[in-house]
Amino acid sequence: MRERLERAVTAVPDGYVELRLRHRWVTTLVFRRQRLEVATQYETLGGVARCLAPGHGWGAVAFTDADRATTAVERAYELSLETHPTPPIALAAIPIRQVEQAEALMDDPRTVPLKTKRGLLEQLTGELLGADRRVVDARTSYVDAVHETWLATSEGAWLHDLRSETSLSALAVASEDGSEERAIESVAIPGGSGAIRPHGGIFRSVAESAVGRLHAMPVRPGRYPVVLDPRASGALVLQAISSHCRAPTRGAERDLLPVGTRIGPDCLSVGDDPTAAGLRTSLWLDDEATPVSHTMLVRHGVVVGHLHTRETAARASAAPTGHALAPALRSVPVARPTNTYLAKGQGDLEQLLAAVSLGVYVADVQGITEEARRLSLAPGAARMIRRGELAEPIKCPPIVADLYSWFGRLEAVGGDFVWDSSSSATQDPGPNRSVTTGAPHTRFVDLEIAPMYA
Amino acid sequence: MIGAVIADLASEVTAADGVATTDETIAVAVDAGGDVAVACDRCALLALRVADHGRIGWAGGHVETSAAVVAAALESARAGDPLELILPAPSPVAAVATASAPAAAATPADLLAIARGLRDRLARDGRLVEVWAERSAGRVEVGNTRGVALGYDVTLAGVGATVIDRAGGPACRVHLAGAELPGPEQVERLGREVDDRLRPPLLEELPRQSAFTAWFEPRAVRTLLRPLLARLTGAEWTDRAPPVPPLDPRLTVIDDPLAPLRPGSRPIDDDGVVTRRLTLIDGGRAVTGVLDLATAARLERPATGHGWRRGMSAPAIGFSNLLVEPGPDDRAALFRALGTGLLVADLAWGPAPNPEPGAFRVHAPWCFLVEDGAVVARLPRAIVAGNVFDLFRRVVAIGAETDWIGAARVPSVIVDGVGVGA
Repeated sequence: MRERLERAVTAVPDGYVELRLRHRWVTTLVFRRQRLEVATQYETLGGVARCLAPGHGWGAVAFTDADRATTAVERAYELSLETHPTPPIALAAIPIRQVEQAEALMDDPRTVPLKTKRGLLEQLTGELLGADRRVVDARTSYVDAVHETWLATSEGAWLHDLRSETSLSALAVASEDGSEERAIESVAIPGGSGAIRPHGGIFRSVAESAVGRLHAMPVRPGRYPVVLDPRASGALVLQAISSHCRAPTRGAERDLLPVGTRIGPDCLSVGDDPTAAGLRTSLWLDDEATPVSHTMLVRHGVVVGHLHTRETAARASAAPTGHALAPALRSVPVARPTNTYLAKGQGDLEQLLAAVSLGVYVADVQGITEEARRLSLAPGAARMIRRGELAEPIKCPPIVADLYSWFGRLEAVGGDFVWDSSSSATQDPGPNRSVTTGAPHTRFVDLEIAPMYA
Repeated sequence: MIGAVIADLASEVTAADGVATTDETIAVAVDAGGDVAVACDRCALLALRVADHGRIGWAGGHVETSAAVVAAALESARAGDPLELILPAPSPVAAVATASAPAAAATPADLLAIARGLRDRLARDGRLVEVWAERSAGRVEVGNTRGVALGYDVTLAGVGATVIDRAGGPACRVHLAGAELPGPEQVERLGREVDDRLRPPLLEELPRQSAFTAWFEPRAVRTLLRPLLARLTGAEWTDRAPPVPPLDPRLTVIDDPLAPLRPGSRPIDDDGVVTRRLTLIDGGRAVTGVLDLATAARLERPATGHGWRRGMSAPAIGFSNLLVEPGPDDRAALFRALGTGLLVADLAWGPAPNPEPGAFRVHAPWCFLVEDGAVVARLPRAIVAGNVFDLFRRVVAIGAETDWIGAARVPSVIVDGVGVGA
């Protein structure tokens, strides 16, 4: 394969050529209640050739057969010649690395029969449905995937990477007395079905969450101190900060938070670390073959850096950070986060709660949406805080505030940092790419909580 | 292609069906700085289902690796559940236009001309404009061991833009899609839509009122339909009684796979079931939901022709082209019906407080204050909340004009009692 791809990247007379090829083996199982809806395995091979002819723009051609790599490079070169950007596109220089990380997998999911995987999900789904009589519906899934990636560039960079990941997800719907509530939970880890088995407890806990919400009362509208759990804190940082510290395409810099901008207090430090050990989204080289690096985005409340591709780095006279990532196999790379984290502070949940006489605790997050830097955090579950302790479960509507309002109200960051192993992804339109978040508990003051539905 | 695979399988399994698709997509993008990127993508995919010893298996993959797809489908059947799946026999199909020759022949230069036309139309001082245009062309072939063998050509073309006002506010995103290449008239319509959204002055503070009469324009109506359509899909339709509470009697929603040259147009679904026009909601009452072949077999009901099985994607139940029937009111009449209230051009759907019973609370960055029949300001901080099923019971007026939003033809709808906050 290496010889074939390295020959293909030299098939055009000049310019930069990048060739990515990926072989994927995927197993998917889906249950609706106790009924198996999908049980399948597939493998796919696909790649993309990207060319930048001198003085021209990008041309890209996707292909599904390694034998057509040379043809794809030649066609991408022709497409590149059809574009005439002014000024011409430049790429920042990178160290050229050759990385081989394709040793045999320890827990290779391809060696486990489909029936065995089905048995695992069936058992866990049964546990979910049997957890409480009020659980009336469930949708559960098991997905494992092995990815083998080859990347060659005309500058001599090379990557051969083999990895596996497995995920479980569960949605439970509970119903009683005309009230209907749902809860969602997921886990995604590197490795195969052996590694995921110990995480099966989420199936019972998701059932308990859905039932727990059935008779929760809506929170009284008003302004409250709010404590976010690590998952909600990490999701907020990803959407509010990392997404605005990704160097954008030319002309769209308005969404970028400029370096030097203060967005929060001293306890707010945010980074993105693709080198973090043991996470499924960690990398050696990004999709442009740039060696990845730990990048600080916010230090003590002030923006200090951005995530870059080679093109955005050249435009900003900065160094590429190794964050050029394609959202899908046959997409072209843009600057994206990998493992975004909020650096830990001091103290644990008990200490964060102790200062709150009446407040709201957000445990889990359904999602965060953003429009024009107004962020809406939809709690997955919530409880009142009374006299410094967690109290009754409540229904809490999405909490909405401007980016600067959110972090201007950040009062304390705990020391109980954890990486979140749920399957998550950035909110970009189009195909998403998984991102891992990490954070401790956080406490915000004076956030407005609106009426539930009006 | 699919015929050969099915024929090979016929002696090995009780029954088999499948879908083979070919596709060539050309996409061009012009960013705000004028940089152009061109991409081309070709693929041929196969989705195969087998019934073996009463068990059903499914697999997808590339046509080039059809032997591996067959093996994976058989392995899937060994792990699958028993299901009595009766494949459809060949039947006459209705004629429906699904492809446009000019769209299939479009080159990167043609698409760049369309994209640049939209960019020129939208360009103004103080605006950042990114545009894209794309077309895909290919063929869908459906076959089964009972003799169904039908192929049809498909095209899909689209153009869209993201416009950012340097003065502030959210990015304004508009797009359109259909089987034909967009013409100057459609590009002009997108241009007018953006101008209408960006022209009114901003009003940061919301009026002191928690509930409004609101005019939802077609894009927003399409978004509001989501919880309603979810209740009409698959087992959701059969599990609830009634699946959807009674709605305003002026609401009628039809699924029409035979509408010509639309994204969901097709003479036969991916299960080999002949498609037909189907009334989903008639005079406010839900009359039927949509089922694919496997779900229909499980529920012991007839399939409705709404199976989608493409490549590696899991089999899914989906609508084809949705038509919300228009009402009698032209734009002037809608303004009169609204009087003073809100006009919502688009909604940013997100995780709702509780989507199961239809509750939502979402950003509405393209929400306008209307006073005495005239748009007076945009409310960039508006959040719209309510319950979809309640809203569709409180309809004030339905517009006579409709827009195609992807595969849905939708009118404006004015409803009462919409919750609004900041």
